[in-house]
Amino acid sequence: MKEKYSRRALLKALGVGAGMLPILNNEWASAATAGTATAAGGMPKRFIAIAITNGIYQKNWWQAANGLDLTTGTLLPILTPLAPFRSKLLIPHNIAIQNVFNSNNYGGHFGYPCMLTGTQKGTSASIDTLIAQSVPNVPNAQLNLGCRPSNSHLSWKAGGVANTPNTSPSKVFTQLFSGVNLSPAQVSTTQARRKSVLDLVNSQLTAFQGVVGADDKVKIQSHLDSVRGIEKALTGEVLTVGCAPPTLGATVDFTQVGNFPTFVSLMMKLAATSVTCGITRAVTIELIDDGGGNSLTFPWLSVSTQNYHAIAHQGAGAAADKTTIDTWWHTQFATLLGILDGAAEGPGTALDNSCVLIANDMQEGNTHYDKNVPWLIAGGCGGFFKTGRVVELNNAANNQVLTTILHAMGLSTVASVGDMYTGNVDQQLGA
Amino acid sequence: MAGSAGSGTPNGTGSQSSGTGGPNGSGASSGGPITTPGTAATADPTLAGSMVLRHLTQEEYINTVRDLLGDTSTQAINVPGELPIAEFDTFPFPEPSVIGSTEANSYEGLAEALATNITSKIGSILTCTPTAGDTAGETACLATFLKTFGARAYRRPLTAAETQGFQNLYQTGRTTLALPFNGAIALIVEEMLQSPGFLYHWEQGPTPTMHDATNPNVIVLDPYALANRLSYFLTSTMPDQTLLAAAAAGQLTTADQVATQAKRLLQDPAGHASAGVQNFFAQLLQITTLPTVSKDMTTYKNWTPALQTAMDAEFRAFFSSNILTGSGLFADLFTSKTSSVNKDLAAVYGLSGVSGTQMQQVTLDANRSGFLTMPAFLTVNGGANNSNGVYRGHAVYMQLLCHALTPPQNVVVPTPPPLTPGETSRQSFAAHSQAACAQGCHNLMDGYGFSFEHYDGIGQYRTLDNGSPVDSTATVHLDGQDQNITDAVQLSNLLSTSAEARKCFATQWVRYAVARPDTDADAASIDAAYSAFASANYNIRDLLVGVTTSRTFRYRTPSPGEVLP
Repeated sequence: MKEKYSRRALLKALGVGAGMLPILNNEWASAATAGTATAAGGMPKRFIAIAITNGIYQKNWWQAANGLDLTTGTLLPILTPLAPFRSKLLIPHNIAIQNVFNSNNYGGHFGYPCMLTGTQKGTSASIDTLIAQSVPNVPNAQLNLGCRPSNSHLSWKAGGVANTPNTSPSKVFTQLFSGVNLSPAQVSTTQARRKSVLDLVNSQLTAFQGVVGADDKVKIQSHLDSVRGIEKALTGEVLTVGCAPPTLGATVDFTQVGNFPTFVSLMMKLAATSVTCGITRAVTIELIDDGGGNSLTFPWLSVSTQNYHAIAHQGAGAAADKTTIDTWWHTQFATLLGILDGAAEGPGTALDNSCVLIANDMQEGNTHYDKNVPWLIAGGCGGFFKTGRVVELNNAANNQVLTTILHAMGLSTVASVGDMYTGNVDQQLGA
Repeated sequence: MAGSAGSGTPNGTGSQSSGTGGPNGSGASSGGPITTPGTAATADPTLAGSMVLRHLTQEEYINTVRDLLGDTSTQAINVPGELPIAEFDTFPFPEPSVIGSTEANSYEGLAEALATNITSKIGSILTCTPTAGDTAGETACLATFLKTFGARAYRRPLTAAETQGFQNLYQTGRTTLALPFNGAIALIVEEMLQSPGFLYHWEQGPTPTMHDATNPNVIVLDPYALANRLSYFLTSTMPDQTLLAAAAAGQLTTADQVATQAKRLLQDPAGHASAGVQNFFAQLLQITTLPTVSKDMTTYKNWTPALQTAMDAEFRAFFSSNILTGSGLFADLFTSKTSSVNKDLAAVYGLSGVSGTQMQQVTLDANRSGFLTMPAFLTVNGGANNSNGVYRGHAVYMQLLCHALTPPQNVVVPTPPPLTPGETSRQSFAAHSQAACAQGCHNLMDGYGFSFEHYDGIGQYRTLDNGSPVDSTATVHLDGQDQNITDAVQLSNLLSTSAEARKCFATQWVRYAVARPDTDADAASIDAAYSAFASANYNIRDLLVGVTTSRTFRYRTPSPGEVLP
């Protein structure tokens, strides 16, 4: 699985001529009619979840002594990269991945599928899926990105059906942006061809679904939905102004660990631009889920040559290294937040209209504990959240935070997410 | 010996009901629970498992378009891959994901690229060339194309409804899209490559369903489905013409007929059986993760992409040459010292006198024994800057001995701090098997893993670890008894004749063949495959033929809600 490309080489390798390029699908103009998930001024609300594991060295992240006001005073080293956005940050402090804690399974990595579903093992859809489903007319509403091979899944299409993260920047680029350079005539030719092909695929899948067993019908339904999604995208509007996709850059072998920073940076930019260009509404970015297996090393940082998982497990014994690594992760988050905050939307920025959730599946690497997990929200989600502060949630289940995020995104009638823990933390986190 | 698959072994002519004489040493008394199904005494020989609906794996897709279109431009990165193995999953083979939007978009991009490529050489998939304007000639050529190419793309004949759908698409292509004849043919190819008939393994031919006489709940696998199962099992690609012709002629009905085809494929007529065999081991032992394994390049300055490639090549060639053209014996996989290396890999082995990037055959020294001491296995199951007894023990325990492990209870598990001067990797890990909470798992597998302590994180042999002597002695519970071993070479020797390892090996091949975890319905089939293996002195070629003639390979239980033809 080597990925070595330049954009030109990529297109050549794919054998794709200009007329064959995927079309950029933009429903920006129809955002105002997309219903619930709309911020003031007609701008769409966007949700981005960044998932990471192995905890944070919390003594260098945030401590009660720092006070609940994030807008003043000294930020600890790990949060320092987010200083430019400090008034737009919200720490929902003391959350538990409660369903996994209850399961009596050894916590930590087992919390990963629970983070966005509120279920032990991904037995219902994750909130990014629910958000995307709430805007059925937006063709590429959901985008799931990954930066490393993953041991478990963050995003779930439905109970037991995971969304595979896309780990190829070139494929993401092609899916989202490569229509930018097409003429209207090229676009309509490509649309007509694809429609004729996909219409037949659609009818073949429907017939096939009628033959297979009940369990397999679910699999075919996912395929069918996806094909219909592509078809729907064909009717989307073609982007003509204002969207500048990131440059894929020179040839890089992304399987080499030394190139991981370049890879992560590119994924952050693709995710942020997909939002600022109005293409996507719910994005997940999985940075790493090593699940205790073979993990990442950080040759570009001055830290131990052990892998991330092993460093994290040492807790205070490797505090300096873990702090350096955690700070580096936050620098990557800052790349994404910077792009969002640099895109003016109405009276504010794209960040103001978004909810960026940075979620970790364990408290500290040495304990792998599922309580008091370090989560952070950036962006007010169109004025829903009161940011610039830390809110003590007193061991609230992550389900309640997920429900509140859905409310913030405009899915105001949702009563609960996942298993067992109904209710929300709207009042605590809200403006 | 070359190509003598199934050499002189009774390969189960119709006698899938090996009901008696299951392998001994099922090892129920050892460590953790064994995931292989019950003993032969309880196995019902009339049962067969279900057929999993799954789409082509990444490798199958690449190989299939290679053979269907003669197109070798497909890059793995662009093809939907498989889900990684979950940590405690006893089914060791990566499973294709459900097709969601990421996958559907990928298939669309691939289909468009492949259709563009074929347009300029459409003659390679057409047997007729109608002159421009000859409408009747074009119609006849289209019909021929759908019949011949369609049956290859779908790996079974098209139904009348499918043919009609393609004819309609052709008309749309010629009229709405204003395509020339060749362009409309390419449009059909573009569609076929995204259609369920191509993407899914559900190759049902026109034959009406046949229920089994002895057990009406079980149906005979359709001849085309069987041809495909056989082909993807042994060669990781679509059936060749001989196999499709056998399906069409109804000559995949008896166990003998299936065995004949299996032996033919194992003789590797197109050079694809080696890929099939390699694929099994690369997946079973997770060598497919080699490109993304992260190593500390300060500790291992020789860790380069070129070295990764050489490790992978050595590992794969070892299995295909031993099994297809070598002795074929199970034991030799654990004991052979014949392998192939290039300059980079020779340095890892500490071998002198090897130059260049080409792989060349060598005899390894006494510190090596079979695949378990190969750098590929040791690297994938090694730490970033040291050995890792837990990973290695885990691989032997679960993949080679078919044991199950359950996740530990809700406890705080410490990992070792950085090594203090003179402390070995093993010493740092040893603490956890003393902790009461971890004993349940780690005592079962760590013994296997610690026997590998002579090999560092990329498989280089060492006598010192962090300045202290390596301790590779261990006690393992194998074949119902505690056995003391001095190192991984001795472990390999033990495994080479272990009843537990042999039984597990047969089980893993059956799981691989049916692409799903085994159930009680497969128990008799596993026993039958094992019997073929055992009665051939544990020759793997005979095992593979035995798998293909087994009940669960040739029959299936329909899924609830399925509409049978």
